[in-house]
Amino acid sequence: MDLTETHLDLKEKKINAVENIPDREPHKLENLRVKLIDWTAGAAIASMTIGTYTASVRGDDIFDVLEQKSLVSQVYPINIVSPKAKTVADDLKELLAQLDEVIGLYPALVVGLEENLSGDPVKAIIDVSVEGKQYQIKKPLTSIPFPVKLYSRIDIEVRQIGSSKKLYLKPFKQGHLDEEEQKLIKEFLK
Amino acid sequence: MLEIIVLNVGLGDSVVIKTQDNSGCYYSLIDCKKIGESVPSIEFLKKNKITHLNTLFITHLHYDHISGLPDLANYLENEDCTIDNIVIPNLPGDPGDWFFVLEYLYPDTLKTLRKSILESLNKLKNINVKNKADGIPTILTMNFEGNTKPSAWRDHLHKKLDFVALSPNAIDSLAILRSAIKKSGDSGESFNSLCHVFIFRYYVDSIEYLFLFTGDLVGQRNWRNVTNRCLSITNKSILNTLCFFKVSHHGAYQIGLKTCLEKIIAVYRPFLAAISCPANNPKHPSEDTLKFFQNHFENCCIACTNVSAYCQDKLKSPQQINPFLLSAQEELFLDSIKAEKHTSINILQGVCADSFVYKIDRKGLHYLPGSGNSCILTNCEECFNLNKFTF
Repeated sequence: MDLTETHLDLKEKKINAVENIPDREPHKLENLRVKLIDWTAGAAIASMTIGTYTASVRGDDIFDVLEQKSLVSQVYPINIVSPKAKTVADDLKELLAQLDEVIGLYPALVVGLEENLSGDPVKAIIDVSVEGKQYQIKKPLTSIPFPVKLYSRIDIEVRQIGSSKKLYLKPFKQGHLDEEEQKLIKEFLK
Repeated sequence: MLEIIVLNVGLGDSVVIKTQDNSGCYYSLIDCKKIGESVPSIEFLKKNKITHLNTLFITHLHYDHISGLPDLANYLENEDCTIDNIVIPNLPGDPGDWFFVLEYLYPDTLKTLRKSILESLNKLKNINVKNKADGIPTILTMNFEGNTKPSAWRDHLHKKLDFVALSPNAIDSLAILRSAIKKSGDSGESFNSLCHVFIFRYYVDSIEYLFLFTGDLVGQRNWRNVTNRCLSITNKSILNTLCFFKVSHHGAYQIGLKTCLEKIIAVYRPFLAAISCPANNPKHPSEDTLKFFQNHFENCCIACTNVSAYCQDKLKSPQQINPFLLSAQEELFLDSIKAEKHTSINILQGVCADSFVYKIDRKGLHYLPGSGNSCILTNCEECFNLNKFTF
């Protein structure tokens, strides 16, 4: 990715790309949302989101693509509709992935629901086991992006963002044994 | 002599059973949990230079009971160790049922572990061949087969130690699996009902001692079954001879447990309740469980693998009669034992700092705290005098 491109350049390149690479998937949509938090001499601090990827970043490298100092503290969506832009999105994802590293994914269980005075559940009490150690966390139900009930199993993703770690809750996904694993079971039971 | 070594593995189980006679020492292992980077059962094998396991019992497939299997299999393979028997988790024999359970309990987030557990099971199965010993370990599914007569006892899986699987039976397993399949959003806890429950029997000079290992058993119906089977198989002698009870599910409170114990343990008999639990966890053990033991069994010692400030606070009040044995006091405690009548007791320290050892020999029954955080909770101060535990 050419990090010196402006968003306007990108728009132009999108059009060119659609014309020049017709065999790629033109209908794929990616939505890059950038929120500039601050802008200092020569560097930007912002959070960027593409799909499920979010990162807080600082530096002049990425934000060379967004030379819009007036957009400080505003959400700045770029609807990326072209195959070329899709590639740009992939590049960004890769870049973000380096800045925003998943360092663990742990199974967790909702062991309680805290209620407000009206008796409505407001917080989930979640047990999570990390390398044999048991932790308990509480999360407001409004911050969990999917429905949970008592004893729901969920996955907790831990991401390293810069020097800080953040927890992301995800719906539990049942595993799927691959062929080799199935073979191992059959061999064992034989 | 028989020893039960309850290793501290935090939330999970790992128990070593050792018997000894003139012909030598014999070891079996119940479950194998990893804690951090360490597998306490491997440390135990290393320390005691053990190269042969009579039986490896795997109670069920939950992570907190088998996460150490991959390391164990590697260790046994590299050290030329051998195994006679492997008791595998109770599931219907169809591989499809195993697929279902493993997919359910081990999502793809745990794929690496899932695969390494499966590899380790095969490695353990072939360990004797690999290490050039005769035969392969016998792989056993220990269903409760409906036999409640004396012939139900099996005696060949561990030298001098008889045992019976009390739960589940094949029908229970199937029912539990079906219900889990139907119940979307099941927490995976219902698979605790598939857990093996074993009762062991050991004789010293024709005196019978019984030990009940309830794994992670949950569910009132299952507890009722276990209670009835216990009473039938032991011809009700369990009332007087049960001396060790491994509390199920790390001390989580259950009505079924309460009902079962009230029926199978005579309140006037001393016995040790062992809880394998993490530190500072409100559920394991729960306050209700600890209080239940305290209030119902006068001569019961509760030994936890992890002392926690939490337990301490809970049990200090309201009765103020619970002497605690904290690590700083343990040496004094051991010294006091030596100074009294038990100078000949061979004090065995657990390999893990806070494991504990439970021992039966010709002198009787002894509880031996480990060197670290193990604790003993009792509502009878005199119980610290180990004479109380001598039969």
